[in-house]
Amino acid sequence: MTASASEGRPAAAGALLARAWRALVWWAKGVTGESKYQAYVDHERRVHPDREPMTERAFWRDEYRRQDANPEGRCC
Amino acid sequence: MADVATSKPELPPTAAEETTSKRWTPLKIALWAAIALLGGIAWVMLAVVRGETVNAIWFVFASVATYLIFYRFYSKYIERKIVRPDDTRATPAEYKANGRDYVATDRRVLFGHHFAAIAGAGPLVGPVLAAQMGYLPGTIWIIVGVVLAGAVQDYLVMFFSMRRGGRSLGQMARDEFGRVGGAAAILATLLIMVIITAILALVVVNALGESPWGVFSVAMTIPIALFMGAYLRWIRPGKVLEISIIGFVLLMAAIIGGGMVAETAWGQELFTLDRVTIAWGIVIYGFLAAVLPVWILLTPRDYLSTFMKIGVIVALALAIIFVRPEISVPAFTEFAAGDSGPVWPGSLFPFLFVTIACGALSGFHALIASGTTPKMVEKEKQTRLLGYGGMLMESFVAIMALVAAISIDQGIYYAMNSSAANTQGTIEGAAAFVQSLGLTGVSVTPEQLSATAAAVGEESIVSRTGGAPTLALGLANIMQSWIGGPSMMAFWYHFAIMFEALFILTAVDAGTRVARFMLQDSLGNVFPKFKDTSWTLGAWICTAIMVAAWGAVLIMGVTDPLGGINTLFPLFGIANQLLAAIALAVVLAIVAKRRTFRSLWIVAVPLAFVTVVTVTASAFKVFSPVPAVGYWANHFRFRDALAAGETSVGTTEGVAALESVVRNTMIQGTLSIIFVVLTIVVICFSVANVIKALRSSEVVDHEDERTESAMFAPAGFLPTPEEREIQKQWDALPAEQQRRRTGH
Repeated sequence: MTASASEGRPAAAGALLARAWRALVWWAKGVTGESKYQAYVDHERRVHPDREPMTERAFWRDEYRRQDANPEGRCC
Repeated sequence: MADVATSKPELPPTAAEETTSKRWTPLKIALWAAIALLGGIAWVMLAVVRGETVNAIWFVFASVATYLIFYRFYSKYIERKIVRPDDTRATPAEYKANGRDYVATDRRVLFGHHFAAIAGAGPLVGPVLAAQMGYLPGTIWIIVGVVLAGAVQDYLVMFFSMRRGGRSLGQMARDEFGRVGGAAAILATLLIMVIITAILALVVVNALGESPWGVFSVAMTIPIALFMGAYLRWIRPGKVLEISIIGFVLLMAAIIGGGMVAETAWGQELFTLDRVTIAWGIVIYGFLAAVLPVWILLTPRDYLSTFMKIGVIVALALAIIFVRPEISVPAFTEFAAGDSGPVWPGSLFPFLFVTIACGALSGFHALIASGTTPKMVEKEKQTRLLGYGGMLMESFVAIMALVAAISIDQGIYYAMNSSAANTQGTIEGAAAFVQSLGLTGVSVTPEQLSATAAAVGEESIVSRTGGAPTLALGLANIMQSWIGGPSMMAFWYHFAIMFEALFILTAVDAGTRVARFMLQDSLGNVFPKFKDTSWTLGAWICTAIMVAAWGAVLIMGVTDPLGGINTLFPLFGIANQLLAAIALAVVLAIVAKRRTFRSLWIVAVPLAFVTVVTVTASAFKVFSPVPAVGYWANHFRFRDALAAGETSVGTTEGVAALESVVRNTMIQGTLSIIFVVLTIVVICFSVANVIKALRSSEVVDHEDERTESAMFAPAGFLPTPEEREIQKQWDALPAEQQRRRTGH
């Protein structure tokens, strides 16, 4: 085994692992709903660039108010 | 107020043609032949060979191979014949995009999201109870039922709801059937929600009764959820993932702490509650949780349960593959041929098909598949992955629950699942009762029962009906042989109980809220003031009515002298399958009005089947002369006994007990009649609509107007070569022309 190969492999594996980790975090944030705020900001920036989007704190207060008014069922 | 991005001619294609991916290469043919072969062998092992024992891995192979084949071929066929998706057409997430509920969401994220919404305690409980007939009937129904009925229903409801801007099932019923048919569908839904909530709550009560460990750790979820809610409100808003991990760690601590608390004298004193007390606790909790703002309890608990749901299911799948337990339950038990099973009464047809609802065909999913998910789909073609694929995943959960339940000793299974009326609730009584069943090779000693109870840290495991404790024992058995060994048995058992309790409490809370809104909407037709959902008093009144309704059924189940869950569970299954019949009836009418008559059978066959099953099951429950099966037969038997001045019937002793049986059976029998009548009304409307569509020649469709799409996303889980090619063209565009697709 040459020195370069033994150095190269862990680096590549590390990069792959880091990518997999980032993908997992991205997915988990999506499934739990954490990325909702980012989606809202992206939408506002694209469609209403003239107005300032809500802050994260204000957004979540508003989001929970919306959920209060529109309950979703959970399955059995 | 949709924010529509106009389609520009210079944009790359918004839909992929299927050319190379359609071609059958030798490699592809070999792959599908191998899947078919493996599935075939697995089915032969399960259904034909049936050795002394069967390895659990065959259940995995048989189910996964069948799912893959039906997903690849049958759902594609449905897509081509009925759905006919058009990816150049914008989905509501695009043409109604508002950054809030209409948000185009990556299909892989949405799959997780949708799955977390449809999967609950249902697929975990039904298969456990169905195991009394042997493993084969349940396995066949779960697998065949899902590919031909359950997944078809979810897929079509989701697609048609998406084409209607994410309208709910109730609204679609009103659109298709008019006011009366729609009202019948909504009333049926409301009643069904009451029954489902009550019976799910009953499952929790049965799992926590006389269990200080369980009561402590489940009660701890309340402060944990409060803390998470406060954290997200005041400390770090929006950091959901972070607080979910903190919450999960606290939850584990609560489970471990529960074991310690249950060993102390004060812990036992404080947390050993009888089932009636726990039931009242859940009723009060249900009311408070449903009137409080969602951020206080509902959403934090929901984050925890999503976390647990996906984690536990992945862990259980891995454990089954690594441990590969040997199953000694026969393919068919003696109870498969009769109607006298101790776990639940009734014959295989139709009761197996209502006992296993979620996992094979679940009407409740139609409520989830219409509404939230359709508003987030990026591309029409993705509904096949989300709707059909999501339901296959749920079915796999049911298969794993079945494997876990049948991996435990049969004698222990019957001791746990027979009602206290039969076992007297003692280890000696249970051992004697299991003996009296006269099953070959099935017996259990009192020592075995007390040793098992000690191993899982419980006082007793006798008559822990409802399915959850049995599943927890099976899961603990499998998990401990993978991680931790026998010393971890008690932890895994309570981990599983906690996992189910979390789902169910969320379902109870969310179900009460949804039902309250439905009630307010209906009452609002008479008293307009109720339409205003921000009117606090009205909200409280309607919540109280809904909680009183399911609470009454719950208390009835807990105090029922005949055992509760075994008499009520069929009602739960019937209710769920009736909702499926309503959903399929709506879909049938839509398909007919779109004039795709040749493929009407794809919907008509499952609809006919589920109608026959539920109507027959209801008929048995109403008319059967066998007291264990028919509610009214039992009602008259007990009433006559009371009239004759007797004080005991069978194992039921005392006038008060007899009176409560008379009352309970009357309520159950009346509910059975109402359910079946409502469903028949809805199905008649559906059939009338189909006939009308056959006679006329115009295409009637209540879809939203077509809007041209200006974005692209792959349809399946993995992109095809063509889709990769188109994606590259989109990625090459300047940023302002791309629709940025976010995780949510």
